Amino acid sequence: MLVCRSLRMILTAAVLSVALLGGSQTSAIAAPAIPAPASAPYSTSGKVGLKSTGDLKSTGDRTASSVCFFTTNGDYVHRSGSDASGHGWWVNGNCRATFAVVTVQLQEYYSDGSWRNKGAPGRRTVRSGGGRGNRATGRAGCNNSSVTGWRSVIDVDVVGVADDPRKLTTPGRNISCRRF
Amino acid sequence: MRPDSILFTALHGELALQPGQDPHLAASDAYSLFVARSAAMGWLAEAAEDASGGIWGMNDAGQDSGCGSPPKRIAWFQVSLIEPIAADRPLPVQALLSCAGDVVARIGTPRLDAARLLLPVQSLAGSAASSRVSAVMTLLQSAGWFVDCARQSRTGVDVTLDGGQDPILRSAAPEMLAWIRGLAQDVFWCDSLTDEVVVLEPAVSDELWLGPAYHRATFRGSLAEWSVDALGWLAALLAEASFRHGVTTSLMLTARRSSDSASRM
Repeated sequence: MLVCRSLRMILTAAVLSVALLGGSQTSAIAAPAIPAPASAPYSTSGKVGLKSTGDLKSTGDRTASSVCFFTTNGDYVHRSGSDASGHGWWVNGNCRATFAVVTVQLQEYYSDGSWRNKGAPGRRTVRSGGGRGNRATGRAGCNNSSVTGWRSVIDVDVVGVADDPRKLTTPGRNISCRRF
Repeated sequence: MRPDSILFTALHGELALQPGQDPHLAASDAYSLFVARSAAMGWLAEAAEDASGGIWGMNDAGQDSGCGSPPKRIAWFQVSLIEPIAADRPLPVQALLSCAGDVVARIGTPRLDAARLLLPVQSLAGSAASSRVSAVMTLLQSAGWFVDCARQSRTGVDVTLDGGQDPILRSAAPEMLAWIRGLAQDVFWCDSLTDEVVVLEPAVSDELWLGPAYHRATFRGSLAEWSVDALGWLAALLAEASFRHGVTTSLMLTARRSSDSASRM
C-alpha cells in the first residue's frame, strides 16, 4: 500500500507543479505592480510530496534492499496566539535510523499567485512518531487578522541515511493572520 | 473569502495521572495521542493535497497542569473542519469530544466538571436551514445511544452559548428553546433560559471567533448522563438550533454540571 501511495505522490507532484507554474505566469500579466498577501484559492493551494528514500518499485524484498521508507507528516497551518504556526514530524517505516532533522518553513500566499517564505524555519532533531518533544514547529508573527493563505513546507533528513530532496507541502489554508 | 472553520474543545476538571507516570518522561502527549486516535477512527484528514477522507485536519493540542481557578482546564484540542458539511450530517463535535475524552483517559483518570466548545455554525450554511432536517434526524437516530441511561444518571447542566460580538444568538434563544422542546428526544430536557453565565478560564483567543464574549444565553436543563458523548450530542443539537434560527457565526459553548454529584466519564 505504501509503495502504491509513494508512486502516486510522485505523479501528483509533477502534474501540480506544472499547474502552479502556469498560474504564476498568467497572474503576472494582470497582477498589480506590488503583490500583496492574499487569501488563497483552495484549488491551487499546494502540492504534496511524500518522501521516501528511494524508488520502492524495485524493492520486492525490503530486507534485501538498501531502500527504506518513512513518511513526512504535518498539520494544517493555524493561528496560535499572535502567530501562524505549523508542526512537522516523521514516522519511520523500516529505516535503520533513530533520529531525523525535521525543518518546517511557513509560506504565505500573495496576490500574484506565489507562496513566499515567512518567519524563521523551525528545525529540530527528533525521534520518529511525532510524540512529546518530537515535533518541529514553524512560526510567523501576524501583523493583523486579515484572512490570508498559509501553508508549510516540511523537510525530513534522516540522520545517517541518504534520502532524496522531496519535501511535503501541506495544503494551503486561509486563516486570520497576515504578515507583511 | 472566510477563514478555516475551527473546532476547539477544552475539558475542565481533574486528571489523576497513572501511578508512577511522569508526564515529562512520557513519549506521547495530548497532541500525538489525538493524532493517533483520530487517525485510527478515520476522523483525521492528512495534511496532504491528495489525502482522502477525514472530517478534520489537525491544528494543535495541549495538556494543562491545572492552573487557574476551578474547574481547571486539563486538556485542549484544536482542529480545522473539512468542508463542506453534508446536509445530513451535524457538526462532528460528538466525535471531537469522544476523541478528546479517549485521549485524557489514556493519560490518566479524568473527572469532567465542565467543557468548552467552539462551534463553527457558519459551516452549516452550505445547505438551507430547511434542508438540515436530515441532520437533525441523524442526531435523533444517534440519541438511541442514551436511551437506556439509568434515571439516576440524569445530570443537571447549564449551557451558555455566546455569539461574541454577533447579537443574533441572544434574540434567537427563546425560539431555540421552544424548538428543542418540540423534538422527540430525551437526551436533553431543556427547562429554561437563565441569565446566569458559565465562565471558564482561560478564555479562547478572540481571533478564532467573534470574541470577546458578550451576546449570550444560558440554557438550563438536564442531560441523560454527564459524559463527553452526551455533551457532544447536545453541542451538535444546539449548533443545528442556532443555524435554524439565524446564527451564521461561530458560537462559544460552555457547559457545566449544575449538580454536586461526581461522576466519571
